[in-house]
Amino acid sequence: MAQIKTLADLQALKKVAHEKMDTRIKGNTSGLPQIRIAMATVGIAAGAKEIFDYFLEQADAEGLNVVVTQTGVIKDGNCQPVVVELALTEGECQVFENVDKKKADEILDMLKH
Amino acid sequence: MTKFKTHILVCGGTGCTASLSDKIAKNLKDNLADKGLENEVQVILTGCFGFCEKGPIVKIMPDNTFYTEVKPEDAKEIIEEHIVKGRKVTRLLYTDPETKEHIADSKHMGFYKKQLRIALRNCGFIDPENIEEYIANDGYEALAKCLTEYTPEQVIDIIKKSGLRGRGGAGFPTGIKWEIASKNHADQKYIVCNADEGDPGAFMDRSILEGDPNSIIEAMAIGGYAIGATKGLVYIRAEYPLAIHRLEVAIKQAREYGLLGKNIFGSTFDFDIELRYGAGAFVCGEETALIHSMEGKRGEPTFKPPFPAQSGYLEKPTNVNNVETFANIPIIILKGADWFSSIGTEKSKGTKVFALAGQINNVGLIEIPMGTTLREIIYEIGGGIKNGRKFKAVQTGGPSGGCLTEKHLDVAIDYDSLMAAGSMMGSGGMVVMDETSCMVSIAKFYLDFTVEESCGKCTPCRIGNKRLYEILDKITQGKGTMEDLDNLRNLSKVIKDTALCGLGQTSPNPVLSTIDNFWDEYVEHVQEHKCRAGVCKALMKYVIDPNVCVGCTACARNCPVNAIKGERKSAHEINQDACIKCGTCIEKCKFGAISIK
Repeated sequence: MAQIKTLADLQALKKVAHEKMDTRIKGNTSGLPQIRIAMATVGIAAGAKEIFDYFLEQADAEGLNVVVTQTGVIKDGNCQPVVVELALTEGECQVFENVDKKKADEILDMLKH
Repeated sequence: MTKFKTHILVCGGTGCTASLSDKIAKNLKDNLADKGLENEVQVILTGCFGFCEKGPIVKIMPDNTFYTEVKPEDAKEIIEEHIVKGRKVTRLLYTDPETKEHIADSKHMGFYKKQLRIALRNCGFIDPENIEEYIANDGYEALAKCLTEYTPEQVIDIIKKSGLRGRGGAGFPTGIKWEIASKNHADQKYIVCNADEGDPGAFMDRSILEGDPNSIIEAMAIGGYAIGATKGLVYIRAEYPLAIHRLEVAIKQAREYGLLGKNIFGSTFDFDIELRYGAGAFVCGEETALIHSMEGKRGEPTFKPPFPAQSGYLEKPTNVNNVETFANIPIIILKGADWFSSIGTEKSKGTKVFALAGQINNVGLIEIPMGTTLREIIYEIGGGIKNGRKFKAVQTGGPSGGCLTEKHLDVAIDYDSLMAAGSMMGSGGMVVMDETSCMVSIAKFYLDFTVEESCGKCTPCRIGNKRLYEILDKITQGKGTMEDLDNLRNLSKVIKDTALCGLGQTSPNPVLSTIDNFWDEYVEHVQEHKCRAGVCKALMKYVIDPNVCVGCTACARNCPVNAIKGERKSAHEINQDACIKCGTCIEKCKFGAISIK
């Protein structure tokens, strides 16, 4: 195991360790925007899982400070494929239906501003 | 590098482990593997979440879903429902006792809303057996800062300015303690962590060591640098096997990374830590007794001065701090003295961890800013008194503290206000009592503990406490006199004035504070031979109402000592001399004819 001899060594290790814990640290931080993907049976069958992964990858790639998480049915009785909820602040959220990768990009764009 | 999308945190504190949380973690992992999700979801055993009442706790991140009272067999449902389908398992969510609504997000639970977690910042969040998770959360940065940017004097100055006071009970300013130790020169000095947590019902030190052992290691190194000690010793009771294990793992990992050992962070500072096991004697929490115990001698206190800072372990300058005190150090260095001193009251800065226990809905570990009122703790965080009963008293400070009553509910808690109210901070045990608690018996309980734990070295403590206990016992037997009450007061004062160490100097506090706050109850025991809480058996009388009794003989047949006599179909009677007050007759009577007088 590499010895930590300087503050820079420590910070390098911290960066790696921080990334591994990223999901947890974001969840623990209050006030971060959230993207919630409906992952009930219908959603999964319609490909919500791929979209979920896409959101995660893109958010990571862009370095966005956002919590990507899954939830149950967002709109009651909906048979719409892939529903996504975006909450920029707590209590206030927008719902998107028929989300594909293109729409996902648009949602992520909204976070950049 | 695989990044886990979901983290499942399982409480691995002693309490939840006793309720099979390790089995829960294993089942969760097995079920994840079955679904092929082991690379997407990570299961981590953490330290204590604090909400022990509802343990074992399982928390899902990043959505903060808080599952309570989870059993190993629930693992399958959590994985299949929450992880695979994204639906929360409603039956395992916390139910708000007032609104009866399920609360999924722990941030919205009354238990957590008022808390401010500084000493417990990483407990229930990181894997205590993985130093990298500590480092990810700013770990060892404070040590790096001290060794590369500050002189020892500057470190002491920060701690002094922060206003941090010892969390072990007495509240001595930590910075001043360090300063004194730093000014005594010797070829070897020692810094000691007092993890001999002994108050009945207190488990904050254990939880910190189990949940965030690295914070203590880092803080001890900082303290060592400040006072000029190259050796650290943790005095920990052998009854804390899990805390010992996690501390050992953390020390090993810190050594591997060079965070303990020679030339830490490229400086000239060397530091290492060893563990010393205590056998669980209460008096060994007193620093001179603790040092003697570490030296392999009898765990008895000695007169101060000389203070340990002058002549302590192996007669070298030694600085002893409590676990919770240490847990505050790294974050004070990182965030600054001003940040810390902005929290709390004028003379007590920062937060305090309390172990809430007794007749309260939310038993557990809480951390609150100094200055929070008892009412907020008991009713908002603690969720009120169990079974809707009436609040009677709260005991703080363990065997050295006292009982506070309704009139103290709005006192802002800090070292000085508790002292003024006749109790003390102590290590932070908080036992809540309702109307079914007899205050004379409570005083007797604590004295029983002190008599057992007195080391016997000085006469006031050895004999005085025993006499106090005997008088209290006499009163609970209904044989006390008004003169006994005077004697209790006088003897208490003598013991406080003459005992050698902190144990004896504070042991009469439970007696004095109950006499002061519940005088009527003492007088009732003596003059009316009555115990209003129905606790003192000798003062209770089971009576059969002849107008209600139908003579079914159920009570007489079930009485274990044949104390009930009476003809069939005629009223029965209890022979008071033979009755052992076991309560069986009341249980068996279908007509409600028997009552306690």
